[in-house]
Amino acid sequence: MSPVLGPTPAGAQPRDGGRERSALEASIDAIRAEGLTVEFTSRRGTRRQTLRAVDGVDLTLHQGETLALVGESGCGKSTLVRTIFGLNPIAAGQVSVFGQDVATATPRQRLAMRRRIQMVFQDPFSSLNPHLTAHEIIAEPLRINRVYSRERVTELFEQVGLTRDSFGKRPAEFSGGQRQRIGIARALALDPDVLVLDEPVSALDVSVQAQVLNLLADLQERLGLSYLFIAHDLSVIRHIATRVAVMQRGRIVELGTRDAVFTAPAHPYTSLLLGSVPVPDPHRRPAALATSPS
Amino acid sequence: MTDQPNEVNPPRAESLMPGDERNAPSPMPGGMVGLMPDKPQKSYSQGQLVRRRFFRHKGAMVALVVLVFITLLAFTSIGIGPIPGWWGKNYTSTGSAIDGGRPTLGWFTIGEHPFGQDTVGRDFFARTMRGTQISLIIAFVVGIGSTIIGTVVGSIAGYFRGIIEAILMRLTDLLIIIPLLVLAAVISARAGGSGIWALALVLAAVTWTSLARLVRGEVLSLREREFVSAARAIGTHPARILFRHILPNTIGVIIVSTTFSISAAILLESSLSFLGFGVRPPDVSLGLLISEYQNAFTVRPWLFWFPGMFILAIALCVSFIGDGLRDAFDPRQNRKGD
Repeated sequence: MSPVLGPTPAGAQPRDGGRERSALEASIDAIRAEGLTVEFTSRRGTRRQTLRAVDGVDLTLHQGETLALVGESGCGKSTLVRTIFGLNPIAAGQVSVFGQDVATATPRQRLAMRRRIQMVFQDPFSSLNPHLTAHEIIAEPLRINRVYSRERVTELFEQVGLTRDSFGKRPAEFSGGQRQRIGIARALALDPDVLVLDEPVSALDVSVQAQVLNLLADLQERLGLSYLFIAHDLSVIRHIATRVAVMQRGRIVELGTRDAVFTAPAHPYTSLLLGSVPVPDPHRRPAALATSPS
Repeated sequence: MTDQPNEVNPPRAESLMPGDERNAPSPMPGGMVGLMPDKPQKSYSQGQLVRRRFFRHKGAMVALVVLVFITLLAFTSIGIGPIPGWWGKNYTSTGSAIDGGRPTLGWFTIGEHPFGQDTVGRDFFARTMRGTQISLIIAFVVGIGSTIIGTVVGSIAGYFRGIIEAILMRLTDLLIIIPLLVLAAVISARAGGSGIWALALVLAAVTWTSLARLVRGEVLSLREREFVSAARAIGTHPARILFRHILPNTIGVIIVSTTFSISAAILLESSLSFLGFGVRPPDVSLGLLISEYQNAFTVRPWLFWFPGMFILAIALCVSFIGDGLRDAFDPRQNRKGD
């Protein structure tokens, strides 16, 4: 993968799906959030309480890049993702997917949007229906959009490194890494342009994490995908991200290229996150950590 | 991974071949190897898999054979409706009780009245068979009917939430707080005399409540699972999500509840018959036979034992079959039945 630190040059997206993007299309941002604010109101009796889960977020996902979104649990990462998928009401600001405003999209436009932006879930044990075979799980999006063909399913299987003889098996017969591959294949079924990956490797053990991350990097290269990669594991992000956004209490507190964020964190929260990464080699630990009482 | 030099092009782990994950910890106890390309796994459709696993379940198979035998015996021996059976006597004609109505069933002989005769000389085998017929019909109509109602109500309430859930669940609560026996008695008295089918439907209409709550609970937990979100994310229609992604995962609960409700229906019917609201003489059911002859227990115990044995046998068989079905439908079961 060549270093991509910004918008992909127009027309530089070979796709095996055969859909060529026009130069104009390629210059549109995949996801653009401007001043996005999402609020939840809870009512207890007559008292109303408003929680601002996402607070004026400006975020852009360029085509072909991997934008990592980091932050502790409860900082609004998932809310942001759900809002992009049109599942939360927007209090202020706007979010658009390929130039299409999510809030004002008609059902038809929303369906078209869903084909371009797909999601890979965190837990491969609960994101696959245990009653369906691998083939059925991957065929599901194709069937719903009436574009099912056995060849396409085989192709998807091969893209994620599974073989045909696992067609008839159920999720319980796969390992965690294999299940996540099935989840990725399902997300790829409708030939999307953007994958939103919600901590796709945090449920896997480390050796399998590397395999899945490599698979993701490989797919990005081959299919010209853009990734919005949500994670709390900074070592994973260092492995895959082109840009990093750090989120805290509903706000983006730092946004920059991977190298900038990792080598010269501007915000104290980012330094805190970086400092909390466990380093296996004691000689390479930051001095502040090595001397701190544990 | 934190040790990696901070360069733009990250080093790759050795290989992307799927075979690399063969050594990954397998969630299956059998340790079946997942993706050996040289040894293709035979795969079965869901139906085949369930059938094979069910036929491998010894208890369930024995129970199925016994239940089929009882059913065939009950329906062919004295016939049903206008169709005559092979047993010469019917369950209503009286006669003189031979030898105090003692059963003539021996180890190798059947005799004139294998299950004996009651106080007015009616052939007790014929009566037991008629009672078994009625009880089987009621049990299965109630079991299936209440399962359908309970599943529909519970899954709609659990899936759509909101006002629909509120209405359906308050209706369920309303049915639960009224004593079942009283409710069934009143309705069946109203529907009175229109036969066992009406009685069975009445019982089904008042016994679906517990299943509705169980299914609602299951659906509530399943609809938050990620595979349902995944289905939503690809634009699946709610009906398809419900029928394809949620309900198949509740099948275990539904089957267990159905087997319970089949056994419970037999008992509920006997209570009603005892109170005079259920099956009415001269027709009989197993429950009615027991309650009718409970006073004869000390002098003519066979009048109690034979129908009791049949109730026990039917209830046990249904439970075992339910057990086998639940295991067969469980997707986490690794056994393929070979």
